Amino acid sequence: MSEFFHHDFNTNEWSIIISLIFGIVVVFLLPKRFKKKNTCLYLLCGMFFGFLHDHTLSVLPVSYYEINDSSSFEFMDFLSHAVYAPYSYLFFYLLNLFRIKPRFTLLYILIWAFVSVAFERLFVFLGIFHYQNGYNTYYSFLIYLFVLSLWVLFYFIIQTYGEKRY
Amino acid sequence: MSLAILALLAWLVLIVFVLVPKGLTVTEMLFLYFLIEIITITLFTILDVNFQWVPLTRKVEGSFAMYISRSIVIPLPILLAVCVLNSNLKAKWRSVLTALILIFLCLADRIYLWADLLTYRRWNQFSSALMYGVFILLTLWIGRWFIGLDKGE
Repeated sequence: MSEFFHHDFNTNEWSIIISLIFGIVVVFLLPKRFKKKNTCLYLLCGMFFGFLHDHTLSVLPVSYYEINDSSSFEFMDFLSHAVYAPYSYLFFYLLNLFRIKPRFTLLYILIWAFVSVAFERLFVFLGIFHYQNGYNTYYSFLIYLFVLSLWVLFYFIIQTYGEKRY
Repeated sequence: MSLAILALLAWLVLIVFVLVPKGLTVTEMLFLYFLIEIITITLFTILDVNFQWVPLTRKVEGSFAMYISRSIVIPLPILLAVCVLNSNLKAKWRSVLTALILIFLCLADRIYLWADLLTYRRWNQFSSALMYGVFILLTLWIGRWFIGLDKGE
């Protein structure tokens, strides 16, 4: 198992830090479009789905991939999940900016799924994800289509019922 | 059988969660749910994989049962506890209801142990109760910050 792990602070750690800093800068530089609460929610949404999927698919009994330099949960794993925050924010930001109508959302989701797969391939190359047990990017593509569809649904629910008190 | 038991427990939790007035907006509840879920997943992973203090079952059925637990049975009662502590109820009632939720979470732990979904190694029921208590207080603290975020805009 350990042959594909590099335990030094190297490419994968630097990639995560650079991606995170770049993402934070992008979020701060973009003109504000949402209330603070919605901004926080859209940021956390990406992290939540990242945690949920990575800690379901990368652990036993399936264990389809390993993240970073060991099977244990490390601080760098937490940061790699935090990278999903600006990613989800940008997804909701552009959805709102271009006022994408519901009938065009399928196309929007498809474009984002391709972009996500491209980034995942890059992260595999950089040693952040290590596939195993027959897993590959094609399965991720399906997961992206599913998750991004949920996000679109989530966006319209927040836009319509977000302020409703229960 | 563990999957059916956890599914039933999750369904009962969902019924209570839907019926109880929570006093929070959808945005606030979703934010807190995401936060609680992230913390729950992190705690499960650290206690199981890193320290091996609370190893989880590796059986497929048991794993699915634990997915239900960590997605519904644990987060929703914690979210309810935060709603109770943040409500306008008298302090006595807030304490009693939060204690009841804490007892429920501990009883749910007993079910996981009974169904062999997890085992305690360097861990016990007291550690578990303490963890849930701290978890509720931490979520309440972050929740209060979040609820007051857009005030004055």
